[in-house]
Amino acid sequence: MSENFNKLILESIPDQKSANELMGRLFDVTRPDAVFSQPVTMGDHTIINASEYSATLGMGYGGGGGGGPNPEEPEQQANGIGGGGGGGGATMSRPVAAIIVSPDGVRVEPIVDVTKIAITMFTALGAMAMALRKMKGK
Amino acid sequence: MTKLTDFIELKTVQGTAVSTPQHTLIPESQALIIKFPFGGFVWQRPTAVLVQNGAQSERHPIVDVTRLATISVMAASLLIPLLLRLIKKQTA
Repeated sequence: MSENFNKLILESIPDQKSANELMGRLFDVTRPDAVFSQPVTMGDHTIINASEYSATLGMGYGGGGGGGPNPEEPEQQANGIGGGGGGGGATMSRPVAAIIVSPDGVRVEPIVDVTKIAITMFTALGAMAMALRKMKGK
Repeated sequence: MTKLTDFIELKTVQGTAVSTPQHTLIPESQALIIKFPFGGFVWQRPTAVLVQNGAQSERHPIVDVTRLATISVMAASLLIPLLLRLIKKQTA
């Protein structure tokens, strides 16, 4: 992962300007360097890892004002102001393929996430079983 | 006037070339960017690697096997009950 991408994750936001800058940085990471790792060379072979990633970010701000003096307590000047903000985000990254460069040529080896496929399959089987059970009930 | 392209963008970008003793590799990726006034979403995936060997240039596509498998499983889970329902209706 790129340094820019890591900076996006570990960031404190002191003010709205910084928040807008952070938002801009979210879109800056859309460079191929973010999905392709640095090449690792070992002997005659060079390996580059390719990953897909997704990042989402959201933030909001709010503010409030105050009121006039209290008629029951003329000496006391009522006033107030407040504001606040919050935000959150999530990132996901998954290796997709390994690019292997050797003297014989270049080949792209897919990286299969068996756990993800298995989870999807069991979820799909569960949904199918429920649908078939409903069909039988009719 | 605000256009849809101001919020949604799909772009293909090429990265910095990586040189090895035998080849020069140019990574290529595709990014989907969705922008909101106070938020955003970015999804980026590798699409191909362009291999240059002297005057020859070759494009090696990168296939996401995991995504293909999960989409196939989900599509099958939708289609199989529908087909069974159709078959049941025809036989009844």
